[in-house]
Amino acid sequence: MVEQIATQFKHKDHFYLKKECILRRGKSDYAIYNIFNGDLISLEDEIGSVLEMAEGGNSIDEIAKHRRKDTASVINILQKVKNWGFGDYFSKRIYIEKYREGRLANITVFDIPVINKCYIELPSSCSRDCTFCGYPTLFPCITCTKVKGNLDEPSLKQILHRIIQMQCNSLVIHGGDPIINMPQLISIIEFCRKEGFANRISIITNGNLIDNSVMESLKKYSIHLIIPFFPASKMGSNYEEITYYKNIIELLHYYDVSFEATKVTLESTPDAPNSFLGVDHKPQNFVSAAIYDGDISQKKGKYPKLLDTCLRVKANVYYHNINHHPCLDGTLAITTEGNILPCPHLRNEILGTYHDPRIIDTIFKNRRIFDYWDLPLSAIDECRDCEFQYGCMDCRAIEARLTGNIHGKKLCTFSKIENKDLIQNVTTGEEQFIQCNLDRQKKK
Amino acid sequence: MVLGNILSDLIGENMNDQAHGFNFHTMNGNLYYYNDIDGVVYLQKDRDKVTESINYRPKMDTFSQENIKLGNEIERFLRSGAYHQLTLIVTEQCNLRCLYCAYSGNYINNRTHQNKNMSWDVAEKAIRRYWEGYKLVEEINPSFPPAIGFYGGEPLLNFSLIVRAVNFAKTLFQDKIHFNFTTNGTILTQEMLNFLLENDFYILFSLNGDRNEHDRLRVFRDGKGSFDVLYRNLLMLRDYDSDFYFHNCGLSLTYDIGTDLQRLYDYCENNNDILPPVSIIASVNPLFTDWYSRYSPEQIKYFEKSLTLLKNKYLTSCTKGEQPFGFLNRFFQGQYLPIFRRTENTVSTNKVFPLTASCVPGRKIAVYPNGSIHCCERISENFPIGNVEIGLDVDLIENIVKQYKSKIYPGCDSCPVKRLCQICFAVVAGKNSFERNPSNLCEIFFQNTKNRFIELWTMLENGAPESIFLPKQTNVDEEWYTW
Repeated sequence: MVEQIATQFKHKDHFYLKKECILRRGKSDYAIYNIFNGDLISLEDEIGSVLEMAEGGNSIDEIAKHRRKDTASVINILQKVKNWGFGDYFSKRIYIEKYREGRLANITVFDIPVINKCYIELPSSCSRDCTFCGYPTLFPCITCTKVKGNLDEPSLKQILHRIIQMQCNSLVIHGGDPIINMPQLISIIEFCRKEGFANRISIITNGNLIDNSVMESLKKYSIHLIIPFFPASKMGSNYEEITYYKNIIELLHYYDVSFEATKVTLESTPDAPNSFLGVDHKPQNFVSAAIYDGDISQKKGKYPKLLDTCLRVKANVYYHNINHHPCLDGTLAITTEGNILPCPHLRNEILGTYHDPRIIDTIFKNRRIFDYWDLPLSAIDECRDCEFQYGCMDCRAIEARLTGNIHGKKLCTFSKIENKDLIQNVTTGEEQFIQCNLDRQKKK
Repeated sequence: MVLGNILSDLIGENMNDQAHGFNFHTMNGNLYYYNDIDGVVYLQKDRDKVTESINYRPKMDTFSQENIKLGNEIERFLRSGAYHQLTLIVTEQCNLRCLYCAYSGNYINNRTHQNKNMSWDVAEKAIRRYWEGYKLVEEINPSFPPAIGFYGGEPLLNFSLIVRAVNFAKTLFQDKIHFNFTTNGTILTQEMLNFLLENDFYILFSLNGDRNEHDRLRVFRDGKGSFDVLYRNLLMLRDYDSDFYFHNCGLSLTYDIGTDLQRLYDYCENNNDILPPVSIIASVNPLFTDWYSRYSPEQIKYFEKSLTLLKNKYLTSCTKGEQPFGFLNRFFQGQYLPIFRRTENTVSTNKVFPLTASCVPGRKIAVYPNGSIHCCERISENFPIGNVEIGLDVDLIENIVKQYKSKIYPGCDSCPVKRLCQICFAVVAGKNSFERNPSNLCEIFFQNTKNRFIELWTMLENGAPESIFLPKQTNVDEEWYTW
């Protein structure tokens, strides 16, 4: 049988991955990124090391010699990869340039910086009293908390005026629940719209205070809502919350106000049903967050079972994450106290305050903001040797909170991947957050 | 028209809506196809997958000009992408008479040496106009630093104006300004050095090699070579502040067929602890001149042989995975980087100039001693885009863009290397109009580009690591200096 295979591939001396398949080596394992469809495939060392040599232009005989294997064994491995549709044989050395979109060059000072999201924190309490409020949260920027303090509205507006002059894709207003103080909220939104900001303005709200009059205002200013949905059992007795949320969503649907849902998981009860399940009208998008309400101080943390967050790594994501942080890039935040941060929950990373009218110019001129925007995971010690680093939705906010270090790492998306099966991610939509297929296909 | 007929044989069957490019064989005998529609190189055997691949993505309607209002696009550009640098041509005088100089009379599209100096009135207004424009762009891009360059003639002949301009600019701009100039280095004094160091100037010295080579073409008015004077001043600067010398200074080398390349290479490699790093290596401009007709076929053959030897040294080094440094890197890397780093699978965002490599006028601005503003210091005086009294003039810019397009764009349709074109204003600006000189400029460019693909792909097939050609992380100053 082995001899038959060897004869069959007599004139196939080399093997190369397709232009859309990029092999990356981690500390001990390998991964293939299919940047056409976004799949991220984990490979065991034996396959990965053979492929690495093949990609380097070595012939099958050379690989066999170097790996101290017989040629048929190497062919056997390569045939498996070919059967998966990732590569093919060639009779001689060739060069397959990997697929990419755009140019292959550094971002220069002449490239216009894009503020993808600017978070505006308004002092606001909350009409709820969740037991887990304030716990360490993975992706806290899409959930809520309570915020004390007083707003210096003129200073905030001055800084918003400057940000709106630049290329800013969206504003996210959060609290507390910003809807608790509608006059303050409308004043800020109205200012932004009058300044000519036509892009998306989002509000993070628990939805508790949404009624017809609030809806009229939201509709008037084309506001988008982000609503955290918590595990139903934690939020009230007997799933009352599900009914409650259904009513809110009905109202949003009636007024045709767009919204997205944050599906929040609690680490202590990861299997608890989420109130999101009761929603009839689906949001434009849903994203996932997790609250660590247990003790994670000892063991190396993992992302909750239901939150296998990794990015769908198409070409734009892959090349972006080589040089930039997957989340921080393009983010700015203004806190109630007036601090300018690279993320609304990196509270200690203060770039300046809005009492300095030139602060936005300053952080771009002295390039401090790029210390965060251009922080790829290869700059994080724990991630540097990880083959999945270009597909990880790393959250610096919770890592900094848990480790006290902006470059720290305690939670790992991929630490649960212990077997060496082929893992194929399945997308739940075109958005970036995806749910891993827990029923992984076994193609060993 | 120019290119269509010439290239029809080369690209023939490959031209259609989705595949438009050329085949090339590497030296290892592999056949590839470069498709200019998406910028991708395919294995020739995968040619039938080109259509499939393009259909997979949005239509690569790269060069669409539908519904473009040119004036509006130019105005938009002036508020977002312009004013990268102000170049003040502080004098048209020079104390040297380099034989190949753009102003030597050897170029039909350029002036000759004049005695004009820029006045303070013009310089002050120019800096003010630049500041006003910079402030507009800063609103949308606060991260790029203002930059002022001084050009000539020999700019140090009007040093007092440079001092005044620098001091004025520093009062006007609140932020760090990058100052730079190119000089022959022969009239540099200690007093000048103090000022240049104090203001963190970046200085490009024109040095063409050892004494023999340098003095062959770079001479004073009396015909004497300028090497000794320049070299003495370089050593003075090195001894005065070696850190500044090696970090803020660079060499601009110009060569032609008469250059002994091997000797130039040896000189640079053997003196890298004495000389500043090599920043630019350029050939004597072959456009709008008969400069190269002075060389015999034997001289050309000898030059080509030297060039091949050096290139082989570079290719061997890359194939072994060794990153070439210094002279070799500067000499050859620039030929392959535009190929390796080319854009792929994206639509051009340049609505003013979707074709060729021209800057939109205003990206840089060059102010001449008479106060006229031009898009580049290398272009003749006949294409002003404004003046220091009114600043940039959108109507003038629009007019020049239209002139350029009407003269240069015909023929581009059939070009198989549109994405890689390097033709710009400075390349085709004649005395009074835009023209290709020599007329087969595009054919030469295409052939060179194809050769670069062959050499690069051969290198990569033979094991040259991609990392040699990948962008390196640089700090802002390095980024600016190498711009």
